[in-house]
Amino acid sequence: MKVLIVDDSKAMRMIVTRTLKQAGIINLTTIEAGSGVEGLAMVADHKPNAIFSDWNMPEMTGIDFLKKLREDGNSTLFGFVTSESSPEVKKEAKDAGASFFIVKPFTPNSFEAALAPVMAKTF
Amino acid sequence: MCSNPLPTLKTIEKMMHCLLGNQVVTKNSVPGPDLTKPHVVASYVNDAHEVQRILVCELGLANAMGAAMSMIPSGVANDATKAGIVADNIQGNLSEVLNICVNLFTENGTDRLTFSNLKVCTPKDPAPAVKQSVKYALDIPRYTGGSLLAGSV
Repeated sequence: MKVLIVDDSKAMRMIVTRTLKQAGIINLTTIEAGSGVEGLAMVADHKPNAIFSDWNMPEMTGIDFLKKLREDGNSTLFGFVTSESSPEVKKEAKDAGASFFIVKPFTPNSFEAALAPVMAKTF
Repeated sequence: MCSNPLPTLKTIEKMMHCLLGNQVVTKNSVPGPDLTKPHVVASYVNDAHEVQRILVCELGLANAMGAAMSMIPSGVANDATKAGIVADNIQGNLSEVLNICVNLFTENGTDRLTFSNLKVCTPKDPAPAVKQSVKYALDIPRYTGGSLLAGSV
């Protein structure tokens, strides 16, 4: 499974990768981007199976990244991993087409809980 | 004005265990951070970009938190603390830690806040005055511990 991790923090991208492995994602390959703009290019070039994106990033935010993907007709499984936690933000994410929402800080268990329903449907 | 409560010891402990590992020890601290020495101030703003909450960390603790996030050697953090700065290669990690720490202020409240910035303050360039505050001490294994203050502005 090829996962694109989009976060402006290199350390956080590393931690998300580690947590995906701890959560038991099998045959995991990760690719990384530091913003929504970079993420769009990575999606075009690498066609990931799933995208894990931060919300607040320079150049292009995570929600704008998601909206641009959907406008372009891309339906790749997309979820947020973010410090945002308000109900309004979660609703905006869902309305834009996000399949899961993980609040930082997270644990392997919180990844498993968020991913189990969507992974079962998608893969 | 933000009505979200200040974090409890339990909230701080849960956050630090998730971020930096279960071996982090948290406890109440009196008198809190030593503001006669350089310290890091993180600001959290509402949707109108008004500062509502701050987190004040002793410089040694701030460098340790940033370093521990991606296992940067403790010597790098200690050298930066002696020099009175946040190390360049720790700054990004520390910003991410402090960004995530916004949930110390939002977990039990309804008002949305976001991390704005971090700044190294000194007695000549002090942190904003706080109306209310709570003070805790952290000990991060293999790194320096220290005190932090969470306050409403």
